[in-house]
Parts: sequence; structure tokens; C-alpha cells
Amino acid sequence: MLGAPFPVDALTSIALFCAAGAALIVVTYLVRRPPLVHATKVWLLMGLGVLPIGAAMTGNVAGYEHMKMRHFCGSCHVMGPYESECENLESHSLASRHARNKLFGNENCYACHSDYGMFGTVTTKMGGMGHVWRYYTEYRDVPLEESAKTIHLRAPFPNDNCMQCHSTELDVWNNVPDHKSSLADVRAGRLSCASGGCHGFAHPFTKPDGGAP
Amino acid sequence: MTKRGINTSRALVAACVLALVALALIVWAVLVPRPVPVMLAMTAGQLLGTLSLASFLVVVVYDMRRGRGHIIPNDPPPPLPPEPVERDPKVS
Repeated sequence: MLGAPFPVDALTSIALFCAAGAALIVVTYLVRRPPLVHATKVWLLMGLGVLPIGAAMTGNVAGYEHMKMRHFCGSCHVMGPYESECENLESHSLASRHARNKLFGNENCYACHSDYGMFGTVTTKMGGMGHVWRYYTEYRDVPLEESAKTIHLRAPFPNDNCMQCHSTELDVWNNVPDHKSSLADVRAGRLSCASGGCHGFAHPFTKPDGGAP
Repeated sequence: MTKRGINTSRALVAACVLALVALALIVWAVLVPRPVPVMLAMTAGQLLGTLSLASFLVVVVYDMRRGRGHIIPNDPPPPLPPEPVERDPKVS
């Protein structure tokens, strides 16, 4: 489970097993220094090739899975209030309500903020790298009060991300008068679902008036 | 044509040390899944691991070629001493 000091899911266990096996072989070689005969080459191929590649592959996948988790986002202090708000059972913000949905669960940050489309995962990872860079170059020492005022999205939140689940195609959606009247604007991204006059801001505490419409 | 050899022992030790550093970074990222460890493992860890494996493969290929006589070994055997010249007893 994420957040535990020693996560023990399957990927983690496989990565640790491969890393331990590789380290054992390599250290044994360094201590004994056997001649480079055929058997030594095979053992070193395991210790320097097969097992480290296994550790890297499973470690990478585990890393990608961890990156989707809310606790990973909240590990930067400026994201702490966002994480707390999502975990607040009494909050009625969009973010909190979605976090309580099992479909989003612990991955609610990633589910809403990841880009949509064929290369969405790649662009999301590139954006995430940019976030880390900006955190360590600009925001690492910024107090929370100040960061809440200055942190902002790089671009307006795209309705496409909402429409991954809320397709805007079903009658139950279109029967809402406001939806019906603004359908073209919503689909074109001219009117944000997460605006003050519609469903409210996803993180209203970041707004000067608390996100009141 | 022959080439100057490489020190296979040192190259293998370097490969092992690189592998251990890479493995340490991977394990760190797996146990402490936070941005810095994960990014280090996916960049520096993989780079070091790749260098380690490449070093090992170079040594293996070199060792195979040396076994076939394509490359002279690092320390060639010392030259043989000159053969003693026999003197003709009739010549003074």
C-alpha cells in the first residue's frame, strides 16, 4: 500500500528479489575474484545483466504506479493542502468528491490531471518532470501561505479530462438545462466545467474568496 | 593487425561497482517512492546499470577475441635470451 515505509506489492517484491540476487552475485565476485572462465561469465551475466534488468523493469513499473498516487503528489510540501483537502470527508469540493469515488480513489490527482489522448501518458510525465524541476528551483522554500496564492495551472483545466468519464452524450446529462444550453461551449472548452458558476472550483481553498461563486 | 589490450580485471571490478550503485538507486526508489529517488533510479540508475552491462560485454568479447589470437595480451611474455655463440677452437 502506498505511504507505508516498506511497500510490499508484487512489483516491489520482484524488484527487491532481483536486486538482492544481483548484488549477491556481484559482491561474491568482488570478494573471490575467480578466473574469467565460462561459468564466471554466466554468473556475471546474471549478476550484471539479467537480474539488474529485471530489477530495473519492475522497479520502473512500480515507480510509475507510485507516481499516480495522491501521496506521491503530496510529498512536495506545497501540495500538502491539496492532498489534505482530498482526504477530508467533509469537504464538498470537486477534488474531494472525486477522491471519495472508488474509480479515482488514491489516484484522483492523476486521474483528473493526466492528459487525454494517445500520447497523454507521455505528455503527463513530461509535465510532471517540469513540476519537479520548478519545485526544486522555485518553490522548495516557499511557505504554504504564499504558495497557495502563487501556484497555478500552466494552462486552463481542459474539459476533455472531465469528459473521459462524463461523456456529455447521455440523456441524463443533456436533460440538465444548463448542460443543454452550454453543450457546444463545454465541448469546445470555452466554458470550464470546474468554474465558479458551474460545478465550482476543484480546489476552492486556493481562491481568494474560498471559491464562492 | 593487433590491438593494445584492456585490463579485464579492472574493467570487471568497475562494472561490478557501477552495478552495485545502480542497484542501490533502484532499491532506494522502490522502498522510498518519492520524486527524487524515483527520478534518480530512472535516470542515473539506469545509465549506470547500462554502463555496467556494456563494460561486462566488452570484456567478454575482448576475452573471446584474445582467445582466438586477434588481440595481443596485456603483458606479453619476456623475450627469450640470446642463444650462446659457439667459438671455433681453431680461431684464436
